[in-house]
Amino acid sequence: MNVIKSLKFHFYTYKIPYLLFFLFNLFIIGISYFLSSITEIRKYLLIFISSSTIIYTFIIGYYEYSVLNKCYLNIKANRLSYYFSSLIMSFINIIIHLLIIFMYGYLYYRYNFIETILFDHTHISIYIIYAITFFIIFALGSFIGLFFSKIKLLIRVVILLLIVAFIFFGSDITEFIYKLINSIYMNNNYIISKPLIFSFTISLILELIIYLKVKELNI
Amino acid sequence: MSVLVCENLSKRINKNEYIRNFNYNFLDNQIYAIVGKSDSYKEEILDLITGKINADDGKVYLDGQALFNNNFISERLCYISRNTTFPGNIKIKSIFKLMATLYPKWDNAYAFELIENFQINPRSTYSSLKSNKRTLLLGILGLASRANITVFDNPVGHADVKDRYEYFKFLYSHHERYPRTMIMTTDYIDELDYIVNNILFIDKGRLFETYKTEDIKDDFRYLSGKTEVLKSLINGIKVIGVEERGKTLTICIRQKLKKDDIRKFQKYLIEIFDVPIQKVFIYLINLREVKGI
Repeated sequence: MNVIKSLKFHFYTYKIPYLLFFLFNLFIIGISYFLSSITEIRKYLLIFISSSTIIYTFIIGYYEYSVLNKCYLNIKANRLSYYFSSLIMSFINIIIHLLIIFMYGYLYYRYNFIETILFDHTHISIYIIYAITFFIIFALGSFIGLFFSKIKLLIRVVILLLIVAFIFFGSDITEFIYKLINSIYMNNNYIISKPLIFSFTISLILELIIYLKVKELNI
Repeated sequence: MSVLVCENLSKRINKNEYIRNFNYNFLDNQIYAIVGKSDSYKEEILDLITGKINADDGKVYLDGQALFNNNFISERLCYISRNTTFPGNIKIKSIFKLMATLYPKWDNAYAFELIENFQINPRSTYSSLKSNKRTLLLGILGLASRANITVFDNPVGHADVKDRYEYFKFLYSHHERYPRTMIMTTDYIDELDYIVNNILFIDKGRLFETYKTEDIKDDFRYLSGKTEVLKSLINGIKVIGVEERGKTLTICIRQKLKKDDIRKFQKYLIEIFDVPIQKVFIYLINLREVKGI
């Protein structure tokens, strides 16, 4: 099993989309700097940042098992190497997003334009919470991509629902995330917090189901 | 140098066996063409022999090792199926880099030479290519992979007749230079007859005839002449196809003609000429349908 070869496939596919996403985040930081004096805008910026990272991760996870797996397995029928490279890709996705979170936290702290616990780059619990969130979102996207990609409408509906949810209930969702982070943040034993363990377990179950399906996959 | 052995391959969907007992040994440095109707499951046979899907019965061996899910030998085999595609945002030159990592014998210079010939810009993305250029690109990938066994599903099927002609010329010369086993399904067998060594006829998931290309030229002949004259001369000859246009009758016979036969037909102004392979296939399929097979 040569995972490196399969990873290169991911690299050539995603190098431009991730670069664009990174530049997009730099743009958002720039906007934050100029609009930081307007209190209302701050709230919406936070909603926008959290929703864009979650939707981006979901789309990449979905793409992994609705399009990219077919591209790869049609040129090379190594199912397991694709599965493991996709899993590594999910970790790389987490690392990239954590770097972006760090970038937000550091710049917001450094230039003092938005103070928020959502991007507190000094506390490790923030990274653990985000890592598990991105892990489950990626796994969920992959799961839907693998089992429901033939229902083209479904993915559009899911993405539309996510966008609508963030537009209409963005402040509630951010508030919820804020409270969740706050409760875990204040708890020194955040590693054994119930929501984190639950999310992590669900992610592992989804990954296990994907593994078993990919093993027997006839593309 | 590799040999691909297919032993009793069968594949079922819901107890319906659509590929039955496919037995064939693909030998070293030969070019094979698989010809079949659209419902002959020839693409599925390619999927089976390349280890893309697993057979319900039987096994495929590449150089003595079972092929399915065997990553160690899979780099010896390159399969360009009609479903082969790439993410739309990947550039052609990146696809070449990718192929170089997947196939150790990848010939990058040759790949660039071919895309230049077919006027494909290496900086363009895969999604920006039109379907004829995409099909050419996939054909180029198969050639430049230089894998011991290269399998094509209807190579350059969407390209125009001129590009197909050019591509098959490249295929021929590349095979002369780097001999290896090639297996392809094709809808254009008569454009390939100078390249192909062996022809496999498939019907309803079954291999029903195999020929060497030179044998098919000898075994099947067209006789053409005035209807009354020709009809009186063909007693005892195995006729597999008949075509009548006005007062001219053309028949396809399945028989090697001796010198005496040729002289006899020439005496009565009967023309004798080669049967296109595609026509041989059509006549044999018609016979199977008449027999109810």
